Amino acid sequence: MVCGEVRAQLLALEFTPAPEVTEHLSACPDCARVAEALVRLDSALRAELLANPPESLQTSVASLPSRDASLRLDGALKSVLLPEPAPAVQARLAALPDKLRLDDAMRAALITTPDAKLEARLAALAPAPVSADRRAEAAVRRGVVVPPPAILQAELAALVPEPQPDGLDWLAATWRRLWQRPAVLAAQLAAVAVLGYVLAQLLAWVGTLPVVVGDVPYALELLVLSPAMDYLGQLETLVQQLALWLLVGAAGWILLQVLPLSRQPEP
Amino acid sequence: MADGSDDLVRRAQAGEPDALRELIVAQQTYVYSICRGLMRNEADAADMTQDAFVRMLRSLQTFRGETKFTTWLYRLVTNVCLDALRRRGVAPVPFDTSDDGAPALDPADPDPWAQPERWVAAAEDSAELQRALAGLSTPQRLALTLFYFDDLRYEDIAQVMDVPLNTVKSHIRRAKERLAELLMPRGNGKELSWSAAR
Repeated sequence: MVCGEVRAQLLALEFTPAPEVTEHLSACPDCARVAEALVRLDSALRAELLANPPESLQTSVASLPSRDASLRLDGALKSVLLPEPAPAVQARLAALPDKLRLDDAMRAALITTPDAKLEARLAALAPAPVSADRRAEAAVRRGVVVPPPAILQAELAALVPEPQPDGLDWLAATWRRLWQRPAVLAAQLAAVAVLGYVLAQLLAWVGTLPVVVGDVPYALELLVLSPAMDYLGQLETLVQQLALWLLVGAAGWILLQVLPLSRQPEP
Repeated sequence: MADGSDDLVRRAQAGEPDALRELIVAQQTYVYSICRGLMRNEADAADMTQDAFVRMLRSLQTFRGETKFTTWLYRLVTNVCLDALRRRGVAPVPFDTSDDGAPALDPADPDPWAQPERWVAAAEDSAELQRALAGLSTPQRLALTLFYFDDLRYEDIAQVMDVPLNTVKSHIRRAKERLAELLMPRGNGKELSWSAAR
């Protein structure tokens, strides 16, 4: 082995050198001096790099487990013994009628805030806090704003009238609605066809009847000489009374439309 | 002893205060050494040591035994220090590059390997050695620090630094060469100057 290779191995030596390195060192005084210098350098580096921490730091880190446990216990106890009621519960308590409202002592027992010292210790433990108000708001929103069931959603959607399209659009929409139900459309067309056929047959039969026109002047003469003519004089009065009452009804209807008269809401 | 025994770690994970305390006392030297190497000053190293142990206490339950406990712990400590440096705006130095940015040795300067006794005496002076260590790059300093931990092999160092095995060997070799260059007295009695450590 050459000196450069031996030096490279000695520089990154992890455990004992390889036999060929040992053999080279025994034959090469220069490399032997380098090996001895590296051994001394290792000792110096070990002493320098593995530094004992200062006494104060040792004391501080040694007490970390008990300090950390104490803070955690405080937090756990608080959450169990002094649970903060949800905002919804607090709102319901505040809305109670006077006769049912809890007395002050009981309220103080149920709804308490931690003292400043405990708050500071908990704040030191907690990660970046989320605003309690935002959490409460989100929780209330989740509880209050609930989407309706699917069936109800479908019923509500069906209540909304479809907008009436204009002109030919209306015809196209009507045709689309009818085309969605082909059986009904076919039955309606069949009914129209049958009706049309029957009507045509009827008109054809009427057309085959002869038209007879009698003595019209003689018929009118008979009518004038009939006893029914005595009641025609009264008919005029009846028609006048009917017209008068029609006028009264129309006036009343007009008044109802104009005046602010409406159905009173039921109590 | 750098290695945390399995039983001690198990008891610490179970929450036994004595085991936790014992674990911290056993590892505090190594944790502090890593922090001092990365933060490069005593006060910051003390702060990071506390932070690292607090993080260890909080995440001890996540250790599943896939690696050695010490490897897991030293990786955690390294990350705590690197996160702190990042928060301070210090540009992170990649661990997987062997280029330390040091200037090449001037051919006129004496070869430290030709006369090793000239610089080994300076290495045994703590103040001189500290000044020379300040001239190493962060990956070299960390690799060298971990190298002197008991029971930590090259493979473990590679896991802690998250670099290949050959990179670890390269860091250690280059660090010692650089130390020899920095400790070597010049012909005019002055040591080689070193660039600011990265």
